[in-house]
Amino acid sequence: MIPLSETLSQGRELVVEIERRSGQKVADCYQCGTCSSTCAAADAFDYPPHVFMRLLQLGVVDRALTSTTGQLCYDCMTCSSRCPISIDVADVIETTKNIADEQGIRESERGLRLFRNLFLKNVRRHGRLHEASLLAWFNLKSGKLTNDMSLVPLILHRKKVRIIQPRIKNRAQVRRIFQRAKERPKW
Amino acid sequence: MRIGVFVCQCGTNIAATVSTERVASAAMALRDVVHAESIQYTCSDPGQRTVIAAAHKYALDRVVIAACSPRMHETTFQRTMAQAGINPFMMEMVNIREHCSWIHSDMEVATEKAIDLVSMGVAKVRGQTPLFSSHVPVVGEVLIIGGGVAGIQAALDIADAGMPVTLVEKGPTIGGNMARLDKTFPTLDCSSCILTPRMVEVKHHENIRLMVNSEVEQVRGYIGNFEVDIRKKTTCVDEKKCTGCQICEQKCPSKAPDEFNAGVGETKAISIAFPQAVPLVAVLRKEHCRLFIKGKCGICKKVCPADAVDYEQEDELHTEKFGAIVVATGYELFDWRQAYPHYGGGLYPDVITSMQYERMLSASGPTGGRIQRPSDGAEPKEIVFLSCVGSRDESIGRPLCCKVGCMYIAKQAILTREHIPGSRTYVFYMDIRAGGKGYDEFCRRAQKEAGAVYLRGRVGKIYPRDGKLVVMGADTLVGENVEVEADLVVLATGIDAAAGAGSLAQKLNIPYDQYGFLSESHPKLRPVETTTGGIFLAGACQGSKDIPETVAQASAAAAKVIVLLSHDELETSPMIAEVNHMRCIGCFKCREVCPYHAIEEQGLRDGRRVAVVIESLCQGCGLCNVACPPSVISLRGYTDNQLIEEVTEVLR
Amino acid sequence: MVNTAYSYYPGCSLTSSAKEYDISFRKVVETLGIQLDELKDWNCCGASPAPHHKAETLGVLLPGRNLHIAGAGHDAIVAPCAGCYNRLKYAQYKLAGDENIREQTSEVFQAEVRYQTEVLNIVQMLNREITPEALREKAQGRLANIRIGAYYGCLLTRPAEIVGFDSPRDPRKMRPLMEATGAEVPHFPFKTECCGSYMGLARKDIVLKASFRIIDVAVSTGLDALVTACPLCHQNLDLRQGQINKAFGTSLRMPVLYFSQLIGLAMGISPEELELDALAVQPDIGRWLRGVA
Repeated sequence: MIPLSETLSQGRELVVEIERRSGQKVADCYQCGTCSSTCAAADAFDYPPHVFMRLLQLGVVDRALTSTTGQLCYDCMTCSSRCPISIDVADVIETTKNIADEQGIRESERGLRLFRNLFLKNVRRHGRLHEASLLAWFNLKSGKLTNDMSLVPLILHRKKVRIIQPRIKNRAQVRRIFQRAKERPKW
Repeated sequence: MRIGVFVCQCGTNIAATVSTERVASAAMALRDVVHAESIQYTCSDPGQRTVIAAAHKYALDRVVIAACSPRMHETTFQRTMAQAGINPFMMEMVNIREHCSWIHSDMEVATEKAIDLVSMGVAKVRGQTPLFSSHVPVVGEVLIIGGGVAGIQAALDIADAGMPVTLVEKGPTIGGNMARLDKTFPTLDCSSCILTPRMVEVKHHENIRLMVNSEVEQVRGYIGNFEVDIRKKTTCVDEKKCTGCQICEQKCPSKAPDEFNAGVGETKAISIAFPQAVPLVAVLRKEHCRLFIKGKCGICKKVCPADAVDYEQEDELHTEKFGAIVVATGYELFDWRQAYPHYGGGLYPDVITSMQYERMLSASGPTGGRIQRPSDGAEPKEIVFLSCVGSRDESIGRPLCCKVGCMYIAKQAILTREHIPGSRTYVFYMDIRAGGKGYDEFCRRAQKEAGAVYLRGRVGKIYPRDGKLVVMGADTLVGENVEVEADLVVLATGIDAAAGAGSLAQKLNIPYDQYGFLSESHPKLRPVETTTGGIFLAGACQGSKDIPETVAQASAAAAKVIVLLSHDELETSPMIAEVNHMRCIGCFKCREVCPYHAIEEQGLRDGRRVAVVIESLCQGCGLCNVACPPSVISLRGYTDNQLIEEVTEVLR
Repeated sequence: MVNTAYSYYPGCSLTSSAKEYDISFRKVVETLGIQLDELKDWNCCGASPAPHHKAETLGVLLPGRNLHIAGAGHDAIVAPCAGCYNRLKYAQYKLAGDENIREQTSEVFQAEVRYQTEVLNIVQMLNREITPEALREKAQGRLANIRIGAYYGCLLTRPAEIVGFDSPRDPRKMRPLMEATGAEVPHFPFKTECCGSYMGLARKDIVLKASFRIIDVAVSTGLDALVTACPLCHQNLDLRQGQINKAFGTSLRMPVLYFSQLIGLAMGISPEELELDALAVQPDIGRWLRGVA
C-alpha cells in the first residue's frame, strides 16, 4: 500500500531535483508503456521503465533509488527515441541512479559495480583498457572463475586477443583527469 | 448633452480587481456626465432595467457602459438602448474586463486604468451622432460544400424548409465516409441501410440541386450575398444518359487504385464507386485511362449501351449566387506510414488501417465481407487492434485524440467475432473514451461478449516472423511486457480534416488549425458558426466526431441558415464609411483597396467626379479611411474627430 | 577525395577483440589512397562506465582529451567504433555548449581546449571518400548473391540531438553504400534494437536475451549476414552466438560482418586481408563470391 498523502509531499523535493538535472518533466508521462515494450533489459529490471516513472510520479522515491532499474539501465535510449511524449526516459533513470550513488546507496548489482570499477581502474592506470585483464580480474573478483571461459578458445583461435596491457605515454594526464573527476564530480 | 455612465461589476470578474464605485464617482466628475452608477450584472434583466430606468429618470441622450468586451454584449446593450428609446448607436462600450480587470492584479493600478478608459469612452461618445441601419436583400439560396452525412442532413433540412439548396461534392458520389462503413456503433445499424434512403431523398428532392465531381474555386461577397465559382469537372460520361449498368467497368482494361475501398484491391479507370452510389453514374479517371495515357483504347465508349461516354467532355464553370454557405467537407484518415517505422511503415501487407478493415467487413466491399490477410488471403485467427496510431502522440506533433477510435475498435472487435467465430482479438489501448449513450456498455460488450482481450498499454514494435506479425507491447496494469503473434494487425489511425480543407478555408476566409479542422466562432456557444458571417460548419470538418453528433450539428447549421434566410432582407450595420464629397479629390484610391467593391464613382453638379460609398455593400472595415490621401473618408461610429478626442483625453 | 588526412581513433576494442575491424578499415582506406594518422597517444574514451559515473566530469574529460589532441593538427577524426564515436560527439557537444565546461576542461589540460575537429563515424567517412555511385562502379555487383541487413544498434544514432547523424527511429544511411555493393538489402525490423551493450560480463542474461532476438529475426528475415559498425554489438552478436544458442536451445547461424569488411569485399579486397577468418561465425564466402571474376 502506498500512502500517497505522505509520498507526494515527502518525495516532491527529490523528484524536482531529478527533473531539474535531467531536464525532463516526470509528470508528463501518461504511462503508455511504449518505453517498456521494446526495452532490451526490461525483463531484468525489478521495475520496467514505465513503472519506474510511475514510482517517481507518486513520490515513492526510495523504491526508485534502490531499484535494479537504475543500476542495470545502460542508456541505450531505445525508450527515449520512441516515447510519444518525447520524454528522455533513459535520462530520468540515469539521473535517479546518479543521485542514488551520491547518497551512498549500496548497489545490489555487485557484478556491474565490479565491472565498472575494474574497467575504470585499468584505464586510470594505463590510459587504455586491456580487455583480457578486465575479464581475468572480473572472474577472479566475482568468484565466477569459469565465466566466459567458453569464449577463450574462440578468442585465441581467431587471434582476437591482445596479451600485453596497452599503455599510453601521458598516463599522468589521464591520472590527473581521474583526480579532477574525484575532486570536482560536477561541472 | 446628458451622458450616463454605467460601470459593471460583472460579479467578481471586474469588481475583484477594479473598484467600480470609484470609477463611477470619477465618471460623475466628467463634463456632461449627469449620472454614473455601478451595477452588479448589467447584461442581466434587472441590470438592463436599471439602465433603462436611469435613462428615463435623468433624460440621458447618450450612454457609456463600462463592462466586458463589445464582442460579448454590444448587441445586448444596443437593444437596451432601443428599449430605453435612445438611438442604439448612442452607446459606447468600454472594455474594463478583458482589457483591464482580467489582465491586472493590482487593484489600485487597475482602477486608475479603468477610470482612464471610461473617460476616453465619454470623450468618444460626445462626438457620436445617431446612426440608422439600412437593409440589404438576401439571396434565398444555399450552398452546401460536401456531400457526406453532414451535408446530406443539412441539405434535407434546408430544402424541406422550402429553400433551394445546391449541394456540391468533390467526389463522384455523395455519402462520404459513412457510406464506407459497414456497421455503426453502438447500435450496429448497417451504415448504408440508414444512409442510402437519405441519399436517394437528396437526389429526388425538388429543392436540391446535386453537383458531383465539383469543387468550389472562388468565393466572393458576404453574408446574404455570396457569389461562388464552381467547377464541375469532366468525367467523360454524360450524367443524363448513363444508367449505371457498369458494363464499361467490367470491360475496361485499365486498372486503377480504389480510393473508396481505401486501397484494398483495385478498380478500373472507369467505374462506379459502390453499388448504391448517388448518382449512379460511371466516372472516367483520365490519369489511369489507357486511352488518355497511351492513346489506344476506347472500349468503354464502344460497349456503352446508352452511348453515354464522351471523351470530348469538358469541365463546366458555374457562377452562382447564394445567401448562405454550409461547409461539410468531412474527414480523412491520417497517413501513418512515415511516422511509425516501428510498425513497418507500410512495408508489411498484413498491417492495415481501420478503414481498410472496415471495407473488408463490408458485404459489398472488395472481399465480399470476408476478412482475409492481404499477404496470402488466409482467414486470420489472431487479430490485434492498436489504438491511437497518430493520436495522442506529441513526438510526431499530433497530441489530439481522434474521439471515435475507442468506439470503432470495439465495433470492429465485435464484428470480427461474428465473422470469424474461432478468432481472438486483442485491443491495445491507453484509455477508453466512450461518453455517448450506450457507448461504455458497447465497449464492455466487446470484452464480455465478443471476448476481446483488452490490454492497457501501447505497442513499441511490430515485426514479421514466419508469416505472422509479432506485436511487442506492454500491459501496464500487470506491469509487464506482452507479446502477441498476430495474423493481422489493424491500426486505429488518427483523423484529419479532408484534404483541401485548408485551401477551401482560405477561399472562405475562415480560420483553421494545424490538422485542417475549421474553426467555429465560439467553442462553447457557437459550434456551427464561423467568424465570417453567413458561413456555417457542420460535421467532422470542424473536428472529429461520430455520426449522431454530425447529424445534430448539420441540423443546427441548417437552423442557423433558415434563420438567416427567413428574412428577405438583412439589417446592415450603420457603422460604415462615408465620403466628404466637398473635399474628395477623385483619386479613387479607396475603390482600389475596398474588398467589397462598395465604392462607386459619381458625378457632381460642379463637374467633379467623386467617390461614393454603396451603403448596402460596405462592411465598415475602414481600409478606405486609411488609404484616402486627403483623409476625407470617415467611419461612422469611429470618426476621426471622435478618435482624436479619445486620445486627447488619455493624454491629459 | 575530400580530406587529405584523417585523424584516426581506433579505441580500445579495435586494438584487441575487434582487431579485424581495425585491420579491415585500414585496408579499405589504404586501397582508397587516404592517409590515416592514428591519434597520438590517444586514451580510452571511457565508453562503458564513464557515462554512468556519478562524476559527470569524467564523461567529458576522458574523450575530451582525444579531441584536444586531434585539434592540434587535423580537421576531421574518424572513429569506426560506434561507442567511441558517440562519446567523442558527446564531449564535443558539451564543450561547444557550455563556457564553464570549456574553462574547467582547459584548466585540466593546462591549455585552451581544442574541440572543434569534425568527428565522423565510419559510414559518414566512407560515404564521403567513396560515394555509393563510385562503389557501385567498382563493385560491379560483386555481392549480388547475398542478402544483408544493416544493424545500426544504439549509439550510432542516439541521442539524436547530440549525434545528429541519422533518424533514431528509422535510420537509412548505411543503405546506399550497402546497396552499391550489389547485395540485396532487405528491410531489417530489428535494426535499431539494442544488443545488450556491455552487460556481457556482469549480466550475461541481458545480453543473451537482447542479442538472441536480433539474431532470430535476422534468420527469419532470410538474411545471409548482418552488418554492424560497433565492436560491442559485434562481440555480442558474433562471439556470443554460441552462448545464445546454448541458452535458448536453438541452432541459429548468422554471420555478422563489420561495415569495413563488407565494403572491402565489394571493392575486391580479399577475404584474408579483411580478416574475415577472425569472425566467430564464418560466412560462406565461397557461395557469396561464386561467379565473381
